[in-house]
Amino acid sequence: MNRNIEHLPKCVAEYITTVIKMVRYRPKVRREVKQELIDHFTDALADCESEPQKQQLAEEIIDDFGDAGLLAKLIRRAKKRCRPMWVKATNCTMSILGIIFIFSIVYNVWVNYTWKSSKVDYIEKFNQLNRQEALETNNAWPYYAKAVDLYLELPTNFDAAKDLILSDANDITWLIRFEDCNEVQIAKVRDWLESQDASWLQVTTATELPCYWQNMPDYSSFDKNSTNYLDPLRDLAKMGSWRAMQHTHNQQYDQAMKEGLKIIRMANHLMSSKIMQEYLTGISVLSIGDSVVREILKKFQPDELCLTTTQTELEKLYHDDFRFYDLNGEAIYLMASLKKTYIELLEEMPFMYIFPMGYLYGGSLQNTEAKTISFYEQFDQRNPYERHSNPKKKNFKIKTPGFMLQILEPATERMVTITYRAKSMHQATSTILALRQWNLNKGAYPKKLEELKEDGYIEQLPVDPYSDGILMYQQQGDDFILYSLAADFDDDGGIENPDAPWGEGEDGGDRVFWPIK
Amino acid sequence: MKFERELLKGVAPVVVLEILSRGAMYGYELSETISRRSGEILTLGRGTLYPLLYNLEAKGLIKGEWQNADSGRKRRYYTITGKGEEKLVAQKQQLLQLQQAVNLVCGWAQPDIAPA
Repeated sequence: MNRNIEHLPKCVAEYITTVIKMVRYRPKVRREVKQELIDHFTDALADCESEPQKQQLAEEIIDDFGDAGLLAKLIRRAKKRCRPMWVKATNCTMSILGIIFIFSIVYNVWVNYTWKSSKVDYIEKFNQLNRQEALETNNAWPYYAKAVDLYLELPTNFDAAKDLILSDANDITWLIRFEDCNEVQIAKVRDWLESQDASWLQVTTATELPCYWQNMPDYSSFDKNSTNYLDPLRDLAKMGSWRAMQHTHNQQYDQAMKEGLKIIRMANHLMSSKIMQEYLTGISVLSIGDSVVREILKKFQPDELCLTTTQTELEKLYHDDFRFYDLNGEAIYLMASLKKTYIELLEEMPFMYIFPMGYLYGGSLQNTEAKTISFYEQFDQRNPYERHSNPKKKNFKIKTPGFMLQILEPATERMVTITYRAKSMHQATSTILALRQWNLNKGAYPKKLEELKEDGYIEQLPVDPYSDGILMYQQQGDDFILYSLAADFDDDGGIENPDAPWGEGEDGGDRVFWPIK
Repeated sequence: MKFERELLKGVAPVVVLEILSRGAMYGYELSETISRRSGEILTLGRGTLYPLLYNLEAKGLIKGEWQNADSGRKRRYYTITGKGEEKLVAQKQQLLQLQQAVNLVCGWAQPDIAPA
């Protein structure tokens, strides 16, 4: 392409340069237009014989072309129309996306700012909710904390004991079979338990206190404080179960039962917490405690005093009702966790202000709080049977932003189910104690469970969370069977599926509380 | 002769298409041809010419290509497309009807109808 603008008069060169500059379009298009204009002027001025003539004609032609800006505008508009349809569509789409992107950034900055700038102290709110209305001196938590500090973990080479543990994927009791131990193994276990005496003493003191809470100090240590002692506490409960089994092995049944009750009281403390992890740890510890009591009952027949004392203690713990998890507390805990996340992220990485974190959680702080509280207030906390036979229509539709709550929903449902199971197991344990008392007094087991209540052996009959009635009971010779219909809602005659004790597998099955293997 | 701008507005594209239907031309050549063929009656302002050519190109009625001119220099030549031919026929028909209507209204003699 020729680019010979130099041979043209200066005014023409300036005019063409101005027009091309003002076209403001793709370089290739501007080059072509420039060349066309140069060619036009070149052809128009070709016949001029003198410079003055050339200059005059050039000015006339420029005049005829008109205002440079207007010409540039018309050229640009026309050239834009020449673009292929796909280019126009792409540009249009990119413009729309660009607008959405800019809007999204502005929205994200605002959303993230609502979290960072909020004066609401969720930690303080949570602490007020979590705290019992009692003196600090009645608080068991400091003793549990001390017990955790003093706890010495099981040595890694403690193979002897590990082989003897009754544990599988579904059994969290971690009970030890002393009857299968040899003397060396028994001595090892005994020595290790003795090394834990200081720790267990703290647990004993804690379980005799009426209350339990711990304050979350600030956002920076929020999660750490709430969870870094839970595994050790669970290990302490398991260690307590070994102590109980050791007493059983030594035929010190009353002391064994006392250890079991300590574990159950510890569970009760943890289940009073407003933190879900603590509550679930409490459920797990309760299962250990109930298993210890039933294991002791399997091995020997306690006297009436032992049975009565133990049963009274169990019933007293949940006199009003079984301790269900406070979902309102979870809402505040969740808001505190989220705020902690926002504060940390935005302080460490300020550029995160423009990122759509709000969409992950629930939008602005106010919106998220409203959604979270509403979510937990409306949560279906009925037992599995009620939920199965009369499913509640969800009137709470979680729309984005806020898919975090969608993720939490199945876990929360699972937690409700676990709670009902723990309740039925605990009530079953209390019922077994009552049945053993009945047997002790009358020489045989009752024909029906209702007789226990009629004769004052039990306050409440054990509810089956998987049926509309109480647990299934049958006399079996000089023993009995006590079971739940479990998750298949079918009476399988007291046959338990070892792979899925709560009947969640394809083969179903019942959950048998007695007899135990 | 200077015509009312609005009068020329609809005519200019037809004129350009008609000229180009007889052969490819570059911008300056087209401008000179229009003036000459119309007996110096029609002059397409230069400020209108190139935007008009680019608009017709955008509509697919003409096509522009860089080609070697007789002088050996490269020029952007414009040729009418098939779509442009169809448009030209339709536009000419409309102009003819318009001419007849104006003649009748103004009481002028029937003009010689240019061959198609």
